Amino acid sequence: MDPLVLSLVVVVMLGALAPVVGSLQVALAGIHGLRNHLRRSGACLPRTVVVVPAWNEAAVIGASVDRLLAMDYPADRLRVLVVDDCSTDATPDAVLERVVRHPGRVIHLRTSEGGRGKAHALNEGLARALADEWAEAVLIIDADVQFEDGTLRRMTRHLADPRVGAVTGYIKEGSHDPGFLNRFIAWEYLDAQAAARRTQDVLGGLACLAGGAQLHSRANLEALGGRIDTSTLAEDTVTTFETQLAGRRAVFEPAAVVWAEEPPDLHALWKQRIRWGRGNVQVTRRYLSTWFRPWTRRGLSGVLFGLSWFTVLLQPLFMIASAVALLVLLAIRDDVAWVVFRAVWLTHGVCYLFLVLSAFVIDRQVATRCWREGVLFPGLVSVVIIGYAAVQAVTGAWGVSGGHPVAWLLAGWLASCMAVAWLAMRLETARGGRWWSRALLYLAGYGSFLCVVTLAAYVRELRGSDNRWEKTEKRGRALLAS
Amino acid sequence: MSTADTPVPGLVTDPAEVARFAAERDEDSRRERRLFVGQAVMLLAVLVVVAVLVAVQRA
Repeated sequence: MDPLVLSLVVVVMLGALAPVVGSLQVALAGIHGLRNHLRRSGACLPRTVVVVPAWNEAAVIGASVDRLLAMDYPADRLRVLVVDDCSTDATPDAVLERVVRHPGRVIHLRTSEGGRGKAHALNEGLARALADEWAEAVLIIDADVQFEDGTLRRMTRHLADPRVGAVTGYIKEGSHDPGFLNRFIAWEYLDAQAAARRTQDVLGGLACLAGGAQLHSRANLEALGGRIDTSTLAEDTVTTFETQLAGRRAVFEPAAVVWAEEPPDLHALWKQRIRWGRGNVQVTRRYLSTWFRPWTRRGLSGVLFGLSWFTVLLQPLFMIASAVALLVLLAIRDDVAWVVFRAVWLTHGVCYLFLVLSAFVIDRQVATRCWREGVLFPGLVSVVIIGYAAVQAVTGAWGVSGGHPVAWLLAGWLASCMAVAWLAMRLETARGGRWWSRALLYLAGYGSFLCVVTLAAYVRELRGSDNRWEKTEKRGRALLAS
Repeated sequence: MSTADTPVPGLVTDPAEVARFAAERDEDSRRERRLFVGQAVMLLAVLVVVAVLVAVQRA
């Protein structure tokens, strides 16, 4: 084959890398059933301080503190420290009411300077918590999350193994009356948390301790200098990496369920994910000497871990490159273009089928509740293209010539779906645009939205935009756990 | 001293509490093993679908 054509074929196939790696990740999650940290866990109830950073969280903070104190954990071994980051709403009143109601169990700490972001507030809280020898473990959470009764016990049991420095739980989208976007997020978390973190546990390297639920042993925090990183937008990921690079394990506990309120609209989600995306770019640069070095250590330096990290990070570029290469192939060798087109989309189809079916095994509750969004996660157009590729491959019917406009549309969809997802976000605030926004997101797919956010995050990083912390607004909507 | 030799704070010796932790661990282990079986079944189901498609195409 002509080297140019061969190169184009390879680039087109990059468009199928993400679903393949995603499926591999979900398949390996099953191994967690045979290989997990449970057998090294034990009866362990350390004296725990829950550090809750709060900036204008009046809508949620009271219920969160009440729920924490009502958890199935010995009352004399649990304290809640709310770090009030100079809130201007009724947050201090809500916390002080709990301080009076639960003497000695709730602490209100007002930071010296507000609005500097979560990491700074956390550091003030950590300094206060660690200054008292009482604390044997510290649980860092978000102000809006709600822990199930047995969640903390299920996390502390792993600290019975002194090699474990930190434990995280399974964050679930928990709006009582979720909109379509919350159902997409719930489905995303099923893959990105319940499945991916199990796989990372199996591979021996965790990518991120969830910001809403990370339990640290005192020894681990002291080894990290008693502070968390403030130089990036991904302080949770940096803490996770530093813990493991210092020789301690970070463990994912799927039975430790934590319910969280996620953004209700695309604009809020965009802001949140830009922060996450930029944080991941910063982490990638910071740990350049860690990636793909399986001979130095397992886990973070492993090939599979690196492959899954970079596939997520580079997926938008792969999709654009794949679409462009396919369009070029269509122009110069349309016979080869159709073969590769079918190969890419059939790979997508097989992975899609596996991911949708697996969801019902990984978390039946979420899968049953959000199956429509799961089926339409890649977008209605992509699902139709998968069906078309399957019919074409099996029967040879519905063929179109290389010069037909439909052929160009099909070939370019992997790139143009991101533009449609971006348009869905832009239309959301336009007059009468909410319906169109929703329709476009179902057409382009939630996955395409995540890709275009990542792309925007690159651009912001390249432009050196401000590392400003943009708070995700919480409305205190009822959660499933309540 | 390696991390493995570090004394563990919070270890519980009360037999009832130890038994409760063990019961929770066993229950969660069983659930994880069910996940392994379920994933294997789903993988098999997808492979069967692919095999059928390939067979139909060749027929």
